[in-house]
Amino acid sequence: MSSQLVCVFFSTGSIPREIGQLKNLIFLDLAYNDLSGSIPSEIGNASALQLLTLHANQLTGTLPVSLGNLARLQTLDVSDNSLEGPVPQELGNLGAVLQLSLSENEFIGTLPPSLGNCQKLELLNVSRNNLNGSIIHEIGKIASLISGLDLSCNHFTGTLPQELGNLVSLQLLNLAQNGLTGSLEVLGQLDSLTSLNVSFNDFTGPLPDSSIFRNLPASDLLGNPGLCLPGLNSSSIGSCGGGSNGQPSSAEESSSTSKHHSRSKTGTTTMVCLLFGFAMLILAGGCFLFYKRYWIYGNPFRSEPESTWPWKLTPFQKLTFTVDDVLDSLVDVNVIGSGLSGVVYKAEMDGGETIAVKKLWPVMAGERNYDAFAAEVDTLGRIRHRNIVRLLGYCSNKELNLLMYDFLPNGSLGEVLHEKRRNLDWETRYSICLGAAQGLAYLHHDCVPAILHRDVKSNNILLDSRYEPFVADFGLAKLIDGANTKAMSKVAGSYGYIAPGMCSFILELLLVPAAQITQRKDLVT
Amino acid sequence: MVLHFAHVAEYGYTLKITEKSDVYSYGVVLLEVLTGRRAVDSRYGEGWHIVKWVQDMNMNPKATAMEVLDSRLCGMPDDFIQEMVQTLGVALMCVNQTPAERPTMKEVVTLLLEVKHEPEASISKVSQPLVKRPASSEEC
Repeated sequence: MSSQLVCVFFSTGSIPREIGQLKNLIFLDLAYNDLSGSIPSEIGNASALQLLTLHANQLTGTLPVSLGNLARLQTLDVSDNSLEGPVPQELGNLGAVLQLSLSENEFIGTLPPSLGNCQKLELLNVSRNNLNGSIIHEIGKIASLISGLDLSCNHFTGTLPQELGNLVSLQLLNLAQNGLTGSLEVLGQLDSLTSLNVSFNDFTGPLPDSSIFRNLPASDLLGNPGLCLPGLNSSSIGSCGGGSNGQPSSAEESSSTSKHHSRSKTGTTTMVCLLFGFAMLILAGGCFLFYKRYWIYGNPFRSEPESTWPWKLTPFQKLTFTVDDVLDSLVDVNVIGSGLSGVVYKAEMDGGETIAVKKLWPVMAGERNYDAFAAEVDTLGRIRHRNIVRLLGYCSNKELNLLMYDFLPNGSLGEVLHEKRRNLDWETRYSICLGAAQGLAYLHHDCVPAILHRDVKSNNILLDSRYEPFVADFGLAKLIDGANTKAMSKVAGSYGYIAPGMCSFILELLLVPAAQITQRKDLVT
Repeated sequence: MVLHFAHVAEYGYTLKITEKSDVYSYGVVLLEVLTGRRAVDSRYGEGWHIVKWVQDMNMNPKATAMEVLDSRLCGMPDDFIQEMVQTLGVALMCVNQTPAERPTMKEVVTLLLEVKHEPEASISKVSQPLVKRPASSEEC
């Protein structure tokens, strides 16, 4: 038995203590409401929770330590509230957490070293708080940190720990607006960085000579008077060559030593040096090739899933692109949306074709309750209709699933309707409604077995360049075979669109004691 | 916090997800398209839901269609306004509290096609309590 409640049921007031009785609640998204009061500690009893989003409310009080009990939690987002007090060390018990955002609150104190135990963490955002102390070296032990580390706008002090250099897969690092000191040298090892901001700290010494620093805009370095560029003059920061500003680097010391030597020794020594240099070049080249091979074939100790397991592409029609083309497009700048089931990227292929790629949130082994991937492939994969989004195929490896669709440039009906910039005339609105109805009628009446979409809403009706509608997002869809129509289906959908009988059931779950829920669970198969 | 207790008594025991649940959700989308409003919004007052709001407006003899329809659609020819009012009727059928009384999606398609092509025939089907039309469209 598993009831999956995908429903947002409050708009104002506080989060009730009874939330802890929802033992089967998997996703709880309460973002952008007017919730106030504190987060009840009972929430730690909702042990099936995988996603908890309380973003953009007016919550106060401290973060309950019981959150650490949510062993399955993959996303915890409490950003943009008025939460205070220290960051509880129990967050280090969140062994499954992938994304953790505490930003834009009033948290104080130091980051707990226990965070280093979150060995699946891909994104850590604690920006815009009142945190202080040094950057704990344990952060450098989270090898899975690939998406981002944002510590900006706090009161962190001290030097960067050497362990930060271990985060070789990290793409975004923001240290801006703190009181950090010392050298940036360790950041030179972060080869995957695509975005870096160290502005308004007290960093000193030469910039590391790595690709990210060579291309870094001055605005990301501003406000660090002690920083200098090795050998170059710049309008925003000084040159290290002058010797008066910044600290002399070890490179400068060794070069002056070798000058001294070349003056006093004969030409033979120069020859030996050249040979030695040549040998070093070959060695470096070898290291590079080894590194590249290691990188491509995957390091079993790295937890970045994309590169760990081999990919398999299953097309539902002739495709002109490869798995690599798809994987290359999965970068943050291409994100066009995200939801309960995953993140959607816009992917422009070399051949000029543009597709949409949905990266589903990873599902742990044995947790096949909410299987958006199976739902989409089982339903969309076998149907074709002019008003149903076309599933082009999917890419899978042992840990991740990517679904590929036609890209629909006008976004969703919900966006178009509620954006003040765009106005649809009546004829267009009518043809969108008719098309969507024809798509749903096809699912209900022409497919055998029939398909229930179960998440019909304006955000799931996508529009192509001519505003033709396409019913999309079959992550909750279900096949209904004749023998099984009377069986209870899982409660699913989006608040505001769920038929009345369904939501009352959800409210009932909220209000009755846990014991009764257990007794009645046979109602929900 | 706004919670609805009205349905709690009959909870669960009759809970059955059928294609009529999709029809209800589709009806909410139709209401969004016609009103230009979001499905859930605190400005609706009690209930905060577009269905409750439109149903209340529908029962209010003083309310006019123009108060329900998206103001950006006002000023259209009368034929179009008539089509919108008929589509509103279809939407209200879809969000009927009783699943059995909601049309199937196939019937929805037929009703919507009639809105455009056979106005005379469709009026009899969908003109059960509809939002009253104003005498003129000066309100826009």
